[in-house]
Parts: sequence; C-alpha cells; structure tokens
Amino acid sequence: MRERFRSGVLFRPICLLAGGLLLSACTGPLSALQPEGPAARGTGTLWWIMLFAGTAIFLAVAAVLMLAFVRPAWLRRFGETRLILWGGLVVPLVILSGLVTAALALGERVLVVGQGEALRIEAMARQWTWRFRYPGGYETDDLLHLPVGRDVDIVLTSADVIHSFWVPRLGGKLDAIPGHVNVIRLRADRPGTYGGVCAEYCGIGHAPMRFSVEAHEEDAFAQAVGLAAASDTAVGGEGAR
Amino acid sequence: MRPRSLLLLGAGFTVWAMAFVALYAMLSVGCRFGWDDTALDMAGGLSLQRLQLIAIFLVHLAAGAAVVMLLRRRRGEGFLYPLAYFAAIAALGASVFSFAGVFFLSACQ
Amino acid sequence: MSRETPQDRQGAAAAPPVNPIRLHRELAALWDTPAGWQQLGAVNHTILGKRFILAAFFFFGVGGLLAMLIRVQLATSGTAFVGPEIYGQLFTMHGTVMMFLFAIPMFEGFAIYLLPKLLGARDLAFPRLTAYGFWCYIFGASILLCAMIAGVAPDSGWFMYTPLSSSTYTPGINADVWLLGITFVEISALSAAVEITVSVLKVRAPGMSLARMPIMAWYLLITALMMLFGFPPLILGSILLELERAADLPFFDPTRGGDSLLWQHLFWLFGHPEVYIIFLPAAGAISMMIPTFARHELVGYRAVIVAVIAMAFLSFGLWVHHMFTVGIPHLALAFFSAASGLVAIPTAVQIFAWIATLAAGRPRFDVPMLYLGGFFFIFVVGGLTGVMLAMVPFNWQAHDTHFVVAHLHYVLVGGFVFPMMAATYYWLPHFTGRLAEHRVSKPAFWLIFLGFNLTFFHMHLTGLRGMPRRIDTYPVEARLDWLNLLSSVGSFVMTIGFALFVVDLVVHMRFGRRFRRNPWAARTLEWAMPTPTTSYAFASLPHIEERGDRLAPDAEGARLAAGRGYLGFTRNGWMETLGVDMVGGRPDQLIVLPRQTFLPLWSGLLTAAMVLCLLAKIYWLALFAFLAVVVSLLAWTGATGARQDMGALPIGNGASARPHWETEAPPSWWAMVMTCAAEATLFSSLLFGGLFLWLVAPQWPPARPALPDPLLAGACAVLLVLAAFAGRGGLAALLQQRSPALRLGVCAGAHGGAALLFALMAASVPVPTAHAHNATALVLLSLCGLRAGFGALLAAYGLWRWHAGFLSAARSLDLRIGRVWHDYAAATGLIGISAAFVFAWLATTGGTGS
Repeated sequence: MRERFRSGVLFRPICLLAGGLLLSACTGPLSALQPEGPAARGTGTLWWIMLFAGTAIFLAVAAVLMLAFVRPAWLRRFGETRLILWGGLVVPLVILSGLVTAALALGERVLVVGQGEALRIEAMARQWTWRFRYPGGYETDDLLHLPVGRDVDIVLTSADVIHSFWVPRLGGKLDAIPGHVNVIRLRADRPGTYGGVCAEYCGIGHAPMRFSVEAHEEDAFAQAVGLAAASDTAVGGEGAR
Repeated sequence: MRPRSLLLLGAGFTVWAMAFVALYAMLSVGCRFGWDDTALDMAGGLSLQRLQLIAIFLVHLAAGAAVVMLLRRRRGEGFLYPLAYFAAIAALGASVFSFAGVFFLSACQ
Repeated sequence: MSRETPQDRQGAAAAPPVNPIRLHRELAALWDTPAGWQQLGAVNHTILGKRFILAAFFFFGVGGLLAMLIRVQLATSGTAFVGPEIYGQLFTMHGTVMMFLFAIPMFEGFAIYLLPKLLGARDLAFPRLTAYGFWCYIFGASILLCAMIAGVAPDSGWFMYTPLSSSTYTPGINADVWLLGITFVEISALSAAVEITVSVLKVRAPGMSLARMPIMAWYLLITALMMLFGFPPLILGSILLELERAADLPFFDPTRGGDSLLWQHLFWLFGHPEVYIIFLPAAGAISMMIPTFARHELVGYRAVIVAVIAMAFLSFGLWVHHMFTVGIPHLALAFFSAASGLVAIPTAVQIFAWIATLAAGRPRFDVPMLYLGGFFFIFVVGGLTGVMLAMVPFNWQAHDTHFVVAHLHYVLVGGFVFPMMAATYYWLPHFTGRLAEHRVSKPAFWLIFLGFNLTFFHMHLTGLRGMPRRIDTYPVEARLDWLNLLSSVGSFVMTIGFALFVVDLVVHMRFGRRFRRNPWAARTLEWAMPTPTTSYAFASLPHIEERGDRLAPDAEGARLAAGRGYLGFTRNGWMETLGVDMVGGRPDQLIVLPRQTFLPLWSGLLTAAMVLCLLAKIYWLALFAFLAVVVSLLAWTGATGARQDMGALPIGNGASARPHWETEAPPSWWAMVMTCAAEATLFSSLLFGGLFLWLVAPQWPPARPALPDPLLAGACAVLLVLAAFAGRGGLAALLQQRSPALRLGVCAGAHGGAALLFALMAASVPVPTAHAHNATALVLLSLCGLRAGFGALLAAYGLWRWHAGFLSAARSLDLRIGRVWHDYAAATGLIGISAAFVFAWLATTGGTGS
C-alpha cells in the first residue's frame, strides 16, 4: 500500500525538468514538494495529479471558449443545452467524484490517527516558541528530534493563542489550540534536518516562530532524547532542561 | 401562483441543509459521548455512532426523494415548478455526494 | 411590449396626450434633489448608487495602497521596511478594507443604481433606508480609516481569531475598532439586503412576472437573501467578542468554558457565503453583458437560476473548509470537503451557459469583452485551485500558506474585480451619457492582467515551498527570495494598470462623445431611458410582456418618455411607483415613496455617536445615543400614510390601484418579515453557540449553572403569549371598525412586563463572568428581553398612529406589521425560555467535559 504512494517519486523528475528557472523550484528546506515521509508523499502525489488534471481542464475550457469565437458552428452543432449539460454537469461531476474519493481514501491514511503503535511526543506552543517533550520527560525548545522509519504522534497543545504545527516535508499542518489537544501522525523516512514553522498568525513573533526537525536513526534518537540505556550518563545536550 | 410557490425553489436544498445540520450536530454529539466505541451486535458490529448517522442520512434522502416526487407531478406547470423540480433533483444529488461518507469514513478521528 | 396593449389604447383614449417636456419638468420638480446642502438629504437611488460606487472605489485604492506596502515588505528576505506591529495592521486592514469597505459596498452600489432601472421602477422600496445604509457605511469606514491613520488599526488578521484578538493578547483599542466599526458597516449590508430582496419581489414594472425578470434581478435577489442569513452570525460573533473584551464575558476563553473555535465557526459561517455574495452579483453582471455582446439572449436562463440557487445553498455548507486543520473528525471534514468540491458544478453550469450564449450568437469584441476574457482566464484558475484546496489532505499542506493567498486573489479578483471593471466600461455610458474612446482601456487591461498573473501565479509555488501567510520576514535559507521579488514587481505593474484605468475613466468623463440612447444595442430595460439618467428614471412605467432580456429599449424608451406607460403624470406632489404581485407581476399597489430628507443622516450620525461612545467605553452615554437612534428612526414614520381612505386611484392605461398603505402586503410588511428572518438567524446562531460550547469547549460543567426562576419564566411566557394575542386582537378590532386601543395597550403592557421579567431573569444569572454557560444565558435572556421591549414600542406606536388618525379598517398596515413582530417575539421568546432551561439542564447532567 505504502509503495503505491512512493510513485510520487516518479513526478519529481518531471518537476525538475520543468525549465531552467524552475530547476530548483520545487526544492527547499520547507518545500511540501520535496517529501520525506509517507504523509507528505501521498499529499504530494495528490498535488501532482491535481495539477496535471487541473491544467488539462483549464486548457479544455479555454479551448471551448475559443471555439465559441472561431468555430461557433461546431458548438452549435453539439447543441447549446448539451454543452451546458456536459460541460457544466456531467464531466465535472465525474472528475469530482474520482477526486473526492481518492482524497478521502488518502485522508483515511494520512489524517486519521489509528490504533497502531506510535511514539508520542508532546508539543506545547506558546508565543513564540515550541517546546517538545519526549516519553522520558526530556524536553527541547524549537528543535524536534524524531526517529527514522517510525510513526510518531505529535500531541499539540497551546498555552496562549492559536498556533499551527507544520513540517512541510513530512506532512500537513495541524493547529495547536488552547484548551484542545490535537494529534498529528508523522514519519520521517530518512535521517536529516527539516524545517518547521508556525502556520497560524499568532502575533508579532509569528514569522520567527520556526523550529527544526532532526530525524535520527533509532540509536542516535535515543541518545538525543535521553532514552539511551541507563548506563549512558550523558544526560542533556542542546536544549536540555 | 401564490408567493408560497417561490419558497418551493428552495425546498429540495432545505432538506439538504437540514441533513447537513443534523449529521454534523449528531456526529459531534456521538463523538462526545463515545458512541463510536459502542459496537452493536445486532447491527453486525456497526457502532452506535455509524448506525445513527446512516439512519439520519437515509431519512433525509427519503425526504429529499419525496420532495422530488411531489414536485415531479407539477413540473409542467408554469415557471417556478420546473425550476423547483430541477433544484430538488440537484439537492438530492448533492445529498448523496456530500454525505455518502457516513458509510465508510472514520467518524471520530 | 413594443406593441400597444388593449389597456394601452384605453388609457390613451382616456387621458389627454402628454407633452414629454412638461412631464419631465413636473417629475423633475418632485424627484430632483436640490443642489448645495440639500444633497446631504438625498434619498434617490441614482445618486446614492453613484456615491456607494465612488466611495467603494476610493477604498479599493486604500486597500491597494496597503497591498503595495505589503509587497514592499516581502520583496526580499529580511526586509526591515516596517516592523511586525505595523505589518500586522497592514495585512489586517488590507483584507478588511477590500472585503467590507470595497467589495460589498461596490456591489451594493451597482445594485442600488441598477436595480430599479432593470425592474422598471422609479426607485427602490425604501429610499431613506438606502441613505441610512450609505451613512452607516461611510461613518463606519471613517472610524476604521481614522484608526489606521492614528496607528491603532486592527492587527489580528481580517478574521480576528480569538484568543489573539481577546483583551489578554490585544489589550489596546485595535480589536474594538474592528468589531464595532465592521458591525456598524454591516448595518448597511443588512439594510441593503432587506431593501434588495423586497424591491425585487415587489417593486417591478407591471407585467414583469418572476419568469420575465432580467437575470441580474435573480442574481441580486438570491444574493440579498444570502446576505440576510449570512451576516447575522458574524454580527452575533462580533457582539459576543466585544462583550468578552468589554465586560469580561468569557465566550471564547478556554479557561472559563469558552472556546476559540466558536468564533471560527461564527466567522466562517458568514465568511464563506460572503465569497459567493461577492461573486454572484458579478456573475449577474456577466450574464447581462455576454448576451449583449453575443447578440443573443442568455442560453440556459432557467439552468442558470437553478445553478444560482444551488450555489446559494451549497455556499452555506462549506464554511469548515477554512477550518480543516483545527482537529475535526475525518467524516465531518468529508461533508465539507465534498460540498466544497460540489460548488464547482453550479459554477461550471454558469460558465458553460455563457460559452453557449457566445456560441449561439455572433459575438462582437469590445473593451468589456476584453475584461471578461480576463475574468474567464483568472477565475477558472481560481476555481480549479479552489477544488484542490477542498481536498483535505492537500489542504493540510496548503492551508494558511501563500498558496491560499494566491487562490483567494484568483477567485476574488477574477470573480469580482475583472467582471466589475467590465461592468464599469459597459454601464459607464449610462452613468455619464458619454461614449468612451477606449484608447487607454486596452493597455490598462494588459498591465492589470499581466501584473496580476506575475504577482499571483507563482505565488502558489511560494506557498507550497513553505511560506506561511502573514509573515513579515522570511529567512534567506528558505530560498523564497526570487519568487517574492517577482510577485512584488508584478504588483507594481498591476498598480500602474489600475492607475491607467482611473485615467481612462477621467478622460471618458471629460472628453467622451455624447450619445442618445443604448450604445451597445442591449435589450434590457435600463437602456430605455435618457442617459445620463433622470432622477425619476422612467417618465412613465412600461408594461412588460416579454422576458426582461428580449425587450426593445429604443422604441420603448421613446414611448415611456412621452408618458404613454403607467403613471405618466404627477399628483398630490407624490413620488409614485408601482408594486406588483410577487409571482405574477400584476400591479397591485401604488407605492408612494418618501421625499428627500435629512432624517437618515441624523440617524446615521446618532448611530456613529453610539459606536464612538462604545469605543471610548462611555457606556451610559452609548445607551442614550441608542435611545436617540430609536427615536430618530421612529421619526421617519411621521411622513408616511394618510388620514383618510383613498381607495383605488388611477395609475394610467385605464388601470387603478390602492396606495400601498391600504393593501395587504406592501413592501414595508415584507421588510418586517425579512428582518425577522435575519434576527432569527442571529438567534439560532446564539443557540448553536450555547450547544457548541457545551459539546466542545473545555472546562465544563460550570460551577453554578444558570437556572432561571421557574415562576418568573412561567409568568414571562404567559405575558408573551398574551402580547401576541392582544396584538392580533387589536388588528381584528380595527378591521371590524372598532377601536384597537385597549388591546394595543394590553399588548404594549404585556410586552413591557415580559421585557422586565427577562431583565430580572438575566440579572439573576449567577456570576456571568465565571463561565461561558452563564454568559450565554445572560445574552440569551437579554436578547429575548430586547425583542419584547421592541414589541412594546411597536404596540405603543400603533396606539399613537390610531390616535393620530392614521389607522382605519382599510389603513391597517401599521398594526399588521406589528402583528408579525408580536408573533415572532412571542415564538422566539418561548424558545429562548426553553433554551435557558435546556442549557441549564445540559450543564448539570451533560457529563464532564473531555
């Protein structure tokens, strides 16, 4: 099942080939178009499908509009009522049905936090910083450590106003709302550093309210968040409380 | 034709709107009271939550269909009746399209 | 209608032939607004429509200027052009100005100017309300503008999410300016909604049945109805948030049983229909222009009406797509996602109806068509990205990024600004009586069109590459510089285009060639009059026997100017137009419209005084200002009605009709029905809020639930029912030619008593600042009390009208309007009392908050 969504990889060359200027257009530390996890990859695939379908629809509508000026007889032969019926109702309904079904199926996969085994990391947002708390009680500020290849549930809360947690290369965003607890499931496929931002306007410190995500192999992750074997006395590191 | 016939233009979509309100409200109520976790043996393992949502959906579908049937008989009359009839059909289609998810999707997640 | 009807010949035989010049002089003497100071008392739709349009265009410039500053700030990474405090004001005011001070008033202006002319009437149903709405708009907008100049403009984003906009995080006056100023401006939106609805339904030319209405009237009718149900949730939300800020009632405070999500629901319950409220009138204008340039009537007239109805309803079922990331179950997201996708279908129906119209006719290319081409291009792109955003997983990535910024500009600029520019070129000859040269129009178009796409097309990519909305700086590592710089350059190109557009309009007004009538060879009624138009629009009213877009304005215009239609004369110094049977279009009343007056200006000034008192937190003075507003509004009624029965009066063409106050359902009666509908929406939103908080908010149950005293509640219910029956009894007595005085007195007393009991119950709500439940109970009971108080006022007013001799069995209008309100106040009062008990019961037995 997961392999199917990896097909998004196929689109990357197309994106990269989309012209000299656009060579680096799709990449970047915050680019949702350069996914490194299943959620972002599935969404990325959906995006490319929608982009190509959307372009095709746009060209089709433009072509029909052009025909109305240069070859109105063709459209008249097709029949005006039929034009409205097919262009306005039948064709869009068919496309929409397929799209909505696909998006809902994808949503069940990437949006729904199921019963499965997952590591829980608490993220508390406040003006204007993120604090992450790991199972052992270890905390970091504006730096999120993740294990590679494992589902992680980020449990979002806010101490003051509404913030929104977004790591574009791993998945979508979810709001941190005072008085509510929201959970987003992410997984990083490869070790590396990814950018994260606050996506909901939260006051004058909104723009700098960024954080970074470091995905480690399992051992390095345990080391980083103080979950390594008890013999390991090196507690702490950057951002230790 | 009386002013009332003008209201018929919105008849079908009013049923759609009522379905929307009922489904959204009862979904929230069900999640709040944990109906999603109550599997009912007599309903083939469906949760109480899903069962009540499906029931609401079907009731409104029936109501929408009834509006269509009622208007169908008068769809040849004047200007407003055919409009109301086609709007009711559109509303019925919209109901199926908008709410069919009650059968499949995660109700409280 | 170009043929002579049988009545026509009769009429011509009965009345002496009229001299067009003399008729014009007589009508102008009545309808013209004198120059000088008297202009401030104008109530004429042509004058006020132009004023709305000009003011809205001014605010478009203001909003555009703010946008330029935003683009300067974002041009490169790490710009220090303005700080984050100022930047917050910039983007908040840009959104607010464009939405509330430009788009809505601009459409209102077009509607006010055009509607009577499309429907074959001399004015809208409530000219003084038009004027009052205009003053509310201007004064409210001035408050916002002054706040901006003083540097205390709202700064929490145009959708003002709490808790950021609450007093804890925005302690200054900034948020109050938004909440009070915008609510003030919305009075004008609601009054326009009532006015447009009633005017389309009642104030048309004889013979114009619903089936014969020009398509624009359908669009405006449906838009106005949407406003009637769309604006009240926001007004309620603003009132609640202002109450939280001013009186510490914790509706949105999660530490005291409130929830910030309630604000989001109330805001978007308005905010999404708002988008369609903006788009639909523009689509209506397109549906008027395309047939003219295609030289073929609109194809799929009925399909378009059904599509617009579908769109109106669907647009109320997709507000949560602005809230996909707040943590709502997937199934609930699916409802809104599907509905959001579905709304593309009625849009597609309209687009293909326009294409089919072009294909069916022999299209002719002119400047308005060029702008419509821009509309097609931009709007279709915006629609497609809209469908993308409706898909939840993608929305989770794109939400609150510049992808959304790009999308909404494609939809709003494509769906409103371009059609409105086309409409400007199309109807400008009607405004000015001059033909354009169009030398600058085309370069202006290309600059705007290319500049727009240069600004916003790749902004989709900027968003997907991780640029959130509303950030004032971005780090250079994000590699977003060249995308943003390109957008900034594009925005300046677009601005040059708009400047050229303004130059073009000025040149047109100054140097355009004069013409006689109907330069586009259109087939709708607004061209059947001299241009620039006269204050009374039609010298006599037509009889419509064809669909509204199949007429022959040239021949008809001459005929009407010669006074050969209905009402081709003056009498009693009355400003007259005709009201018709809502569906069939048979003339059923003679509507006598009010003369120009300063009263709306005074009411507007007093309302402004009230808002300023609230802003300054001088609440006792605000209360006096409120009473003064009510008194000034009551003073409007002094000039209406008559002291003796008139019976049917001749209206020309051998027909006759009673004056509106002697008829069953005149416009003012319908206005009361519409007002009740809007108020009911506000009330339902409050009930929704109460249930929502119980269901979703943290920190429940409350420590001390607000259970009303059953004795007081019972007595209150009895009084409400008594008031309703006494109101009905008063009317029945009047119709049987007996005195209604006693029953009206009972009605007023019962309402007054109920209001008092509501006040007592509200006052006994335990510590309303302690918990959202108690605060909700307080507002619920107070609102019911206000309604009862207004009922008492209406009953007392009826009593005064009876004693002043305005009422008789034939002239029962005032009491029938009263009856609508008495019934409504009683029904909603009973619902309110029950709701108070239900809420208290839920608060005690509804389990614990999760």
